[in-house]
Amino acid sequence: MNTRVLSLFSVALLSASLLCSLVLMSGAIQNSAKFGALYAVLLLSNAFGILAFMVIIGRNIWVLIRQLRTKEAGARLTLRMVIIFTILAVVPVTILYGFSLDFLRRGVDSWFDLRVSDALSDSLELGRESLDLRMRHLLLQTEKMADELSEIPTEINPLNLGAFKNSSLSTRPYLIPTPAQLDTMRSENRAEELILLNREGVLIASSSATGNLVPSLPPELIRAQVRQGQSYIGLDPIRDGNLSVRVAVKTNIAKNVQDYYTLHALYPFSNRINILADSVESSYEQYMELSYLREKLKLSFAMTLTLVLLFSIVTSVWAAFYSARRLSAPIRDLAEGTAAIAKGDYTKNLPVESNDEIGFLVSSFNSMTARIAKAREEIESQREYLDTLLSQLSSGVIALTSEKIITTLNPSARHLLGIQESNYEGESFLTLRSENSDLEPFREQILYLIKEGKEYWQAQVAILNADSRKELVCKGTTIKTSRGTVSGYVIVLEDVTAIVQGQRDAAWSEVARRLAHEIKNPLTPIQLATERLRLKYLKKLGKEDGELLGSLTDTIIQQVETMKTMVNSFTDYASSTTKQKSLTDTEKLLKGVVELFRSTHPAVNFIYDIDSNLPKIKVNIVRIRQVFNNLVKNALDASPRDIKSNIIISIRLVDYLNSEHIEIEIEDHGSGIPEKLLGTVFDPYVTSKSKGSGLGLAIVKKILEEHDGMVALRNKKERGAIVLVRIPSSDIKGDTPTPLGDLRT
Amino acid sequence: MSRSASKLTFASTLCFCCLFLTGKLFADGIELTELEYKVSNKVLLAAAKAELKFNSDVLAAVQSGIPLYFDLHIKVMQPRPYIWNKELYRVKYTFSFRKHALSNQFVITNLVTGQRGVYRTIELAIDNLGEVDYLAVLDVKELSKTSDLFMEMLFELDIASLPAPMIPMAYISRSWHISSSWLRKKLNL
Repeated sequence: MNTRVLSLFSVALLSASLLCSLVLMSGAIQNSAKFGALYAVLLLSNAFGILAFMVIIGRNIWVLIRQLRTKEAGARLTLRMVIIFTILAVVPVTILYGFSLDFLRRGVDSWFDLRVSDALSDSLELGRESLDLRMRHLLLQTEKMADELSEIPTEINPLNLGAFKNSSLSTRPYLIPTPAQLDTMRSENRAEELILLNREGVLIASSSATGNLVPSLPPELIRAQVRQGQSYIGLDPIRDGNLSVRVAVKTNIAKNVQDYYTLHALYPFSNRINILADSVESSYEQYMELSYLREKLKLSFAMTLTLVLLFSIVTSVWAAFYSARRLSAPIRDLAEGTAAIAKGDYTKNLPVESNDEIGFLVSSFNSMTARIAKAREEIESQREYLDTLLSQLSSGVIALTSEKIITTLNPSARHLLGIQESNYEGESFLTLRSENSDLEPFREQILYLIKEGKEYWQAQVAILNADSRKELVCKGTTIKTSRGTVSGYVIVLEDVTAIVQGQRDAAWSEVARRLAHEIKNPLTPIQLATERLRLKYLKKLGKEDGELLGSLTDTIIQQVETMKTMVNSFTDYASSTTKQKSLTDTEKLLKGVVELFRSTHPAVNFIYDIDSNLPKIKVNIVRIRQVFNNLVKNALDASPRDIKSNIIISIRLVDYLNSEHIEIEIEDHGSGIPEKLLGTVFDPYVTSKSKGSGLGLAIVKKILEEHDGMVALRNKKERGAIVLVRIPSSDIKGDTPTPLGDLRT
Repeated sequence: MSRSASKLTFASTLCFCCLFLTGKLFADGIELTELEYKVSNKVLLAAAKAELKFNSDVLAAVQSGIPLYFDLHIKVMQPRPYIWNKELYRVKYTFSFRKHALSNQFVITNLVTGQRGVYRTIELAIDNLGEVDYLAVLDVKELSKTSDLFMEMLFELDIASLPAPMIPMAYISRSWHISSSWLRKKLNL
């Protein structure tokens, strides 16, 4: 049995007990003989019962107030329903109570009619008068008997038995009538009992019609009255409530005797008179009692009625609470369920406790919750799938709302834009920023394209950062609702830096190859022709002309040599050297290159920071040496000539793109790379040197890319630049490295 | 609602409240002055004299025909050290006191023995109510032979036997709490 059923059963039991108690109490007022003894107990039990109800109601009120304070769901509805139910129950009951009290008062008053009262008093008086007449007659009759007793001859009682019991009594002999004489006298006068007492009250003789051995002796008061010479007559309710007339008169013992006796006689009334007298007596008594209890009866009835009213009110209020809670419980559950759904809890399943409309509502709610939960699970599943897909995409994806709020920013997009933070979802697109990159041109470009309002758009945007330049192709789509309003945008970012660079490199290679081909061919005939011209005509010309010719031909030959060098550089740039790779020790190769320059740059101090046990790299040694040669030469060119400076060379093993790479950093303390050249420093013909061809770093980049490596250049914060080279390492052990001496050639 | 009804409601509520707060706080109106005993035919008999002083409310009720019932409680006790006394025997005699309207006399009846007394005046009746003649208490054979026994007697008006409408007021009114205190007499049997 659950608590609610137990509570309901207790209250029902209490109500039934109270009701029974009130009924009994009402009975007790109307018939004291029946329940009168229990009246106080019933009153107290009713009072305590109502008090118990009040305590229960008080608890309910306290709980309701607490629920209202905490703004619990359904509390206000319960309060409203309780107030309505209570008013509906209390108002009619109170009105009924008021009228009932008035009717009660009038009803009780109507019992006491003056005429009835007078009639009863008159009937009582009539009875008394009637009985008085009879009693006077009986007194005369008894006095006559007393006279007769003194006239008749009497016997002397030879033995005074009373003297044995009480020595104070006189021991004189008594003159007494014979029993036959007394019996005759009693029967002739229709007396029930006739007693003869002496002066001391000692029984001398008696005669009884009923045969009672113990006669009904008169009390001392009556005897005293007789002693004083006054006869006594009185109406006594002697036995069984029947009336008798008691008469006591003084009589002489005998003529010429001074002593006296007391003659005591009892006369019964006839049954008819007894019944009538009893009827008059009881009616009068009841009327007098009711008359005396008039106000108290009103009070008692009012008290009972008040208890009934209180009982009705407290049970009504309790029932109001119970009904209100029962009715509001499903609504409260629904409110709680709705709140839970609002908080995202779709597991709430409400109990269906009835099969009425509210039960149907609860069932519908449960079905709706289940469907929402299922749909949400599906959405979550799809979202997880989409997130996984987006996280695996190499393309960056940005999704914006119509208010430019970021809803999706996948890892690739963060990587492409150089964004470290991952919680940009929910932020404005305008706040998108990167620590390393300048995203302002990107943002402006995207906002401009969005503003144009096209459904699909595409643009290439360059993002510059400290050490690189990224070329991004941005493809945008405007998402529209079924009503045609813009609900958001999806921007897909593609990193085309490598493609663009590749296309650029391919174009430059083609240019270099054609230049080498077209220029190199005529150079040799030009050089040969110039040398022949100089040889043939130098001696034939005079001194002045000969010097001019020698100077001109030297210039031609020198310029041809320069052009040859340049053409060779183009050839190097255009040529592919992926063949002839062998395992090489990076440290030895780099140190060998450095040693070539140490003697020509004494002011520069080379500092090494090299990890031990570095793996070997599989490269074309000649080409990689060319890379190191160019980089070290650049670092030396950037370093000040006359001031001592350091070039720090570090080689370490790093994990890059999930594979081991040898990372070489060459750090100088020169003036660094001009900001405007940072994005294009690896392009051909881009140089900050006055005499540079602009092909050195382009060749370095090309060679490293042919070895699946990379090169980057960035300025230091203080002064100087750092060039970074990464070459994939080779895990092949035991290969014999190429002798360093061979590499120097 | 009429003014009288309002008064009744107020009075009933007041009574209702007072009912919890009062009890038999006022034991007054009867004083037991004498307590006698004797053994007759191996039966312990007890007699007492009491002075009864009834107030006007009680007298008016009797004159109005309301029967009153008085209880005479007699206990035979055995004292015990440290703890309360042991009650060996207890007997109760009830006397009714009422007015006989037709004869305009007052009747006192011992409801246990059936003995009845009729008196012309209420004062005479009250005086005789206080004269309790020897009444049987118990057979002395039921008592153990100990010299420490004593008898206690109390005479009181039985409020619960009043007509029901009078009971609540009687409980909370001092006028109706008519009772003697316990009168003790050592028994030498």
